Amino acid sequence: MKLAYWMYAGPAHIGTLRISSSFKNVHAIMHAPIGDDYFNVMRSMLERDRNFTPVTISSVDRNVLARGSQEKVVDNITRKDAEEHPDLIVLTPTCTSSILQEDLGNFVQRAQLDAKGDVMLADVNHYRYNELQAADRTLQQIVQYYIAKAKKKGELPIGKTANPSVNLIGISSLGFHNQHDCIELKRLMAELGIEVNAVIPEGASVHELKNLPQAWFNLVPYREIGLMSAQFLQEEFGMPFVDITPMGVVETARCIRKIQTTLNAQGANVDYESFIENQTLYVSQAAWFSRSIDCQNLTGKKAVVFGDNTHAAAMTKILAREMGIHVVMAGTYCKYDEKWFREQVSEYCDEVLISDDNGAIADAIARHRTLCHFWHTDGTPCG
Amino acid sequence: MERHVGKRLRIPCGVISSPIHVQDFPIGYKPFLAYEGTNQVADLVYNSFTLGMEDHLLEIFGGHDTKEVITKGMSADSDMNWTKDAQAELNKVPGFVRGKIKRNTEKFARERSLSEITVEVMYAAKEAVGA
Repeated sequence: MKLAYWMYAGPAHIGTLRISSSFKNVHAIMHAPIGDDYFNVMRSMLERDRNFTPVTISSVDRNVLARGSQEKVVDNITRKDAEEHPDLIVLTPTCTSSILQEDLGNFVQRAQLDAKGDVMLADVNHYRYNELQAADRTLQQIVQYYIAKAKKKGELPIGKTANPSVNLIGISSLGFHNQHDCIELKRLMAELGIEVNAVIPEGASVHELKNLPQAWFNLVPYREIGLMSAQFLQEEFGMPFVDITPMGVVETARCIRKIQTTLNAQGANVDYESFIENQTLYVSQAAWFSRSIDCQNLTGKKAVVFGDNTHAAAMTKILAREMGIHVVMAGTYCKYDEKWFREQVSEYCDEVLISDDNGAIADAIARHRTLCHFWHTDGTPCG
Repeated sequence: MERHVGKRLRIPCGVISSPIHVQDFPIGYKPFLAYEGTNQVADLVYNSFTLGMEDHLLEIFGGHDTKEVITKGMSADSDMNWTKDAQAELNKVPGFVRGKIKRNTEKFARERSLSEITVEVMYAAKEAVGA
């Protein structure tokens, strides 16, 4: 019997809250029992965010259980709307409150009559989706909502920016090293002569979302969050997207080459080959390092990689291709996206493990340890 | 989670992915993506492995817990003869003050030309400093 759940990816409402609270001036109302509201703690004590977490719990208590929660939820939404004037209020249930099967969509419609800001119900199946899937879906839902709104008002921008430009999609609160990755990606784009049109959702205003279509392409650096939004924008506006994670020398080069193809297909004339060569040979220390005697000490050593799809796949490739380390097992807890992971890593490791059962993962690591002469693991998540 | 597995199995481990921990929000600049990311990842991998080698050294030299080592070192440069009971009593003293108590007791004994330190001598030394 599996006793520990949500050890790797959290429940769906955490994903929704990560997206809503990444945006500027967006408030979330959780329809949840007390105890499901630890998101505030994650933001303040893990991420150490300096602002108050814009999340309010509309608690499911004995009164609610006795007579339904419509009045309370609607009151909470309109009160927050009046107090803080958010651009958008996102209502989300949790797995627990979903059991009540109340018509939250109807509550949102009721609240919207009084609220000055926008009100939205996070459209996520809390029994089927985990944190990462819910985050991906909520971001797409918000993008779709504001694109539709702008379209209706005739406020969508016409045409593209004069110079090549990009939207960075998927940078979010409580993401692994996301803020630093974002700075680095902006730096890379600047060096490639590409303007950053928007970064979503972190630090973005929902009012900026209507300007997304004016960028030349979308960059989705993480497999888990942003892909659905990029696919929506592709379907709606024919915007191309690049979803190669620029992690490691080889994949960064592949990502830049894909960007080059994407821009040149739209009439630009860019050639990034000399940039890639210069960065790889002289700027990045990693390529030089992997040829050095220090790194040769690592040759033939063995490793297990485990993590989310993005990082576990990228690390497996780096260890195998760039550092000469033998990856005996590569694993992910993103079970819902297993096929992609297998495609990415199969040729770089002996064995693939798809699991979110921490006991089974520990056993697999221990089994490999007894098989290996030299054993080193790298790239395991923590907790 | 796997970090703890690594600790239990004595396998060095570097963290590359969520689930997140407070340590995954470093104040310093540590991207994983693009060219600076390649440097950070190379450091992470190399340092994990280096620590793996250091781990063997730690075993050879008696580990991080140095109390034992300090006690050994202290008794090596001491010419005093501690009885078994007195040594046992001394070992009950918390490690961070043990060396100081040992030195003070030996000083007390030397001043009185005592060649052997018994439990009684220890208590007398304690009385003498008013502790």
